[in-house]
Amino acid sequence: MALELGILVADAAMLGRALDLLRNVDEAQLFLMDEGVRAAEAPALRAAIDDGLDAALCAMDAEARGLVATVGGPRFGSQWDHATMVRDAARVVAMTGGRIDDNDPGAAGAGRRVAVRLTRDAGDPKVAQALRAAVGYAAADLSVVVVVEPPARALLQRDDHAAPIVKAIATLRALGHRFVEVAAVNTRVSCDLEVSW
Amino acid sequence: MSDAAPHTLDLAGEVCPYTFVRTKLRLEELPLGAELHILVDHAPAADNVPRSLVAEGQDVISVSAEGNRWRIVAIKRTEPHLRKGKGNS
Repeated sequence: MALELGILVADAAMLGRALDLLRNVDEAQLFLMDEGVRAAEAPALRAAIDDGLDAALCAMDAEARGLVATVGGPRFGSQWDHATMVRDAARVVAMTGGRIDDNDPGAAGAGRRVAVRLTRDAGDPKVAQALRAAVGYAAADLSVVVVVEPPARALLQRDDHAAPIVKAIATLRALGHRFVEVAAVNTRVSCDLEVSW
Repeated sequence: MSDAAPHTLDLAGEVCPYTFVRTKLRLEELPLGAELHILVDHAPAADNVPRSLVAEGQDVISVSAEGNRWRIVAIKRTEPHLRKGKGNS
C-alpha cells in the first residue's frame, strides 16, 4: 500500500499534534530526530506503534542524548529512513520546532524537489541538523534546494562555521544541489515540498 | 560473489548520513558486479548502511564485527545515480 503520510518530528513537544494527524490514515510513517527523539518513550507513541504506526528515529541523535532502543519503541534508523519517507509519502508534514510545513507534493519518488528552509541564525544547532537532513535527502535521490532566509544569512557569507556545517555545505554543493538566499522570510521557491527549520 | 578483486572503502570516523553518501559515491565508480568492502566504526552504520543498500537494490553478502569496527561486504547490482542536483546558485 502506498505511504499516505510521513511526519518529521524534531521537537518532542510536537508529538501530540503529530499523532493527531494519524486519524483516518492507513499507512503512515513517523521519523524523530534532533530534540524530537526525546519523545521516543512517550506512551502515546508506543500505543500508536502498537496500532501499526511505522516509527523510526535518528540513531545518531538518540545516541547523543543517551537514549537506547527499547522493545515496543521506535526502531533506531538513519537519515536515509527520513529521506525515503520524504521521497515516498503522499503527504509530508514537518514539525521541527518552528513553523509547521504541511505538504501535498504530488507524484512520489526520486527527483522530488525538496526545499530545506533555514529560518534561524546560522549558529543555531537546528541549522546543522537541517543541513544533515538535506544531505540525507540527497543520498535518497531527492533534488535539494537550501533556502537561506535573512536570519541564517551568515551561512553563505562566512566560512568559519562548525565542522558539521562546513561538511554538509561542501557535500551538497559537490553533489550539485542548490543554495538560494532570499531577501525576506517566507519567500517562495520552486519546489514540491518544504521542510522548515 | 563477484569476479574481480574486492574494493575497500574505509569509513572510520564517518557518521550518518555520510556513511551512506560515501558508499553510494564509491559504488558509482565501480562496475556492476563489483564487490565492495565497507569498513565502519559507528555502530548504527553497521545496521543502517546494509539496510539502505538492500533497499536500493544492492546485494549485501555479510556484515561482520572486527574489533571495534564492522565490515560490510556488498555487491553492486544497480547504478546508484546519486548526483541529482541542478547546479549551485
